[in-house]
Amino acid sequence: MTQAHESDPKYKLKLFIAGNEHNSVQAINNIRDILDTRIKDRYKLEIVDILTDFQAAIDHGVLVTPMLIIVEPSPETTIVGTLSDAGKVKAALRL
Amino acid sequence: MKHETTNDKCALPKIPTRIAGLDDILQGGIPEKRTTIISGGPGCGKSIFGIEFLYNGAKMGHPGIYVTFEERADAVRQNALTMGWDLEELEKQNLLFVMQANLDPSTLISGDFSLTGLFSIIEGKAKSMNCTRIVVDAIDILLRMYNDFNRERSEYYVLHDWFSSRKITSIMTVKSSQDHGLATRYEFLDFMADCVIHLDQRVREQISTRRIRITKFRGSDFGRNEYPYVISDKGLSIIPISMSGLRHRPLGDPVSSGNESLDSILGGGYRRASCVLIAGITGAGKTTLANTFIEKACARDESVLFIGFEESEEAIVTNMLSPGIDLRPAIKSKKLRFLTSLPEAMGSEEHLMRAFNHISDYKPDHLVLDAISACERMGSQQTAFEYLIRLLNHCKENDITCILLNQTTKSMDIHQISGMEISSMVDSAIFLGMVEVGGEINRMMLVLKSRGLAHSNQFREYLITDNGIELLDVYVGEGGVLTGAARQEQEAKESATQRMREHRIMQKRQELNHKEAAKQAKIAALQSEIDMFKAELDSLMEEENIWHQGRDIRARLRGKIKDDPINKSILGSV
Repeated sequence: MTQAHESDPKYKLKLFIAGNEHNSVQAINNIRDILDTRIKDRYKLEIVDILTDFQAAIDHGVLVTPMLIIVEPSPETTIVGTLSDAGKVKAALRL
Repeated sequence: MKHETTNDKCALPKIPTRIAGLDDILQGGIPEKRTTIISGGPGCGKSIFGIEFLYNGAKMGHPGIYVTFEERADAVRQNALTMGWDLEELEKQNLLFVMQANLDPSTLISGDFSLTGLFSIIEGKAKSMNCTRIVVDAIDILLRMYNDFNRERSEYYVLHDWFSSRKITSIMTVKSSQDHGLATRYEFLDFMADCVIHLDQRVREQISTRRIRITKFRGSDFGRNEYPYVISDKGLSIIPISMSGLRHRPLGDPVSSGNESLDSILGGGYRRASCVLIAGITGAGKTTLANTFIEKACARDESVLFIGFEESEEAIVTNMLSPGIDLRPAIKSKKLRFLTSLPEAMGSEEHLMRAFNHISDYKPDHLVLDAISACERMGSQQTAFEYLIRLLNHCKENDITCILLNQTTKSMDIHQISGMEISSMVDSAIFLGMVEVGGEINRMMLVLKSRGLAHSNQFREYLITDNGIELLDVYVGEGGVLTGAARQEQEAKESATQRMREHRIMQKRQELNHKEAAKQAKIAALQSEIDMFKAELDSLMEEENIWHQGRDIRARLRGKIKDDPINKSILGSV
C-alpha cells in the first residue's frame, strides 16, 4: 500500500521492550537502523520498558516483547519481534 | 470457612474450587501453587470453569486474575452475569482482574519475541492485588502465536516455571477436539501439568451430555470415573455418582412403607429424601408395593408424584383396586399426581424438563418412577442413565423420597437389579422374586440394602391379598427359608416329630410309674416278709418268756429266790 503525499508525514512510533532482554536490544538496534537510514529527523520513537511500567503494557495490550506500535501514520499498525525483517517493517511504515 | 487450603496428612496442599461436586472428585481441590490444565472442545464450559473458580475464591477474599485470549473482557463479564456472578463488583474491590489479552490478528510478526509483556502485566497486577490465583483462557491461543511446535513447548515451560516460581496457582484452558492434529499438538501440556481435567460434550441420540474426567493429579488420588456435569444458571455442577452421599443432605427420618411388617424388616421404613429401589420380575408386585406406600403417604397428607412409563393413570388406579388399594381419594385431594407418558414420546431432556417442572410446581414429598427399565426406550441405556442420575440428584437436593421400580431378571446382584449402574445412588433396595418350589411359584422378598438402618437380611414370603401385600413370618428351618407347600410340608414334618417326641416322653413317664409301682409292690412284699419274721420272733420271744417264768416259779418253789419283786408279783398273782 503506497500513499504519495506532498509533505513528509510525521512518524510517531512506540517500542515496548523488556529491560535489556536480548530480543529487545536487537529490536532497538534494528528499528533505529531503519529509521535513521530512511527518515532521519522526521520520526519520534518512544521506548517504553514494561518491566518498570506495567500499566503501559496493560493500556496498550503488550503481551509480547519487543512490540512496535506505529501510531502515525495511521492506521495504527503493530509489529512484534526483533524487527529483523527490514522489508516488512519498511512496508508497515509505508516507506 | 477460614481454611482455604485443605491439607490432610502429608498430602499435597489443595485449593477448593467450590464448584459443585468437583472438590469431591478432586478430593479437596486443585493443587496449590501448581498448574492445572482444563482441556475440552468448544462449548464444554472451560471458561465457565475458570471464572467460577476465581469468582468463588474472590468471594472468599482470595484475589484472582483472569487472562482471556479469546473473548473480550466485556463479553466475559456479561457471560458471568448470566450465572449471577458480578465480576465488575469484585474488580472494583480489587479482588478480580479480567485481562483482555487478545492479540490483534493484523499484528505483523518480524523476528523473535518473548512473553515478557504478559508476565510483566500479570506480575504487576498480581503484586498490586496480592493475588495467587490465575486463569489463562486459552493457553493454546497464546502458544499458537509462535506457530512452531518446539517453540510452543519451550514457551510453555517458561510460563509454567514462571508461575511456579511465584507460587501461583494457575488454571490454563486448552482446546481439544476430535480433530486429531490439535489433540496431539497440545498433548505435551498434559504431561507437564500437575493436574489435568478433561471436559467432554457428546451428542448421542440427539441428546447432548457433558462429562468431566480427571486424567491426572500428581501426588494425589482422585475419582477416576467420568462424571456427568451440567452447566446451569448457577455455573458448573458435577454429579459425582459414587460420592453423591457426600454432597447431599443426610437421609431423613424413617417413613412408613405402608406395610408394618415391611417397616420392621427395613428397620423402620424407608428414609425420607432417600432413594428406594424396588426391583423384581414382572408380576412380582412392584407397583402394588409402591402404591401401598402412596396410599398411606397420601392419607398422612403427604404428596406424591407418580412418573409412569408403563401404564396409564386409569389403568393403575383400576388395577390397584384388586389388591385393595384405592388411589382415588388421593387423586381427588390432589395429594397424588400422575405424570404418564410413553418413553419414546420425547427425548430424555424433555422428559427431564417435564419432571423438573412438575417437581418445582407441585413440590411433592415423594416421587415414584415406574419403571427404570422403560427409561431405556428414551434412546439408549446411556440416555436412561443420564435421565435417572439427573432426576435422582434433583430429588435428593429437594428432599424428595424417590421410589424407583425396576423390572429385572432373576439376578439378585444389586448392580444388576438397578439395571443402570445407579446402585450407588440407591439407599434402600428391595428385591421381589418368585421362587419355584415343588411345582408352585411363591413370592419372596429380600431387603438387599437399607442404608442407615438395621435391616433384616432374611428372605420373606409374601402374598398379594385383597388387603394388599401381606408378609408371612419368616420361617427358618433346617433347610433354610421355605415357602408355600414346602413350607407347609416342613411344618407338618416338624409337628410330627414334635408329637413323636411327646409320645416318647409319655411312654417313659408311664414306664417310670410302673417301676415305681413295682418298687412299691416289692417294698410291700419285703415288708410283709419282715412282718412275718417279726411275728415269728415275737412268738418265739413269748415262748422264751413263758419258759423263763416257768423256771422262776419252779425255783421259788424250791425257795431259792427271796426278794425278787417280779417273782413276788408273779407269786402274788398266781
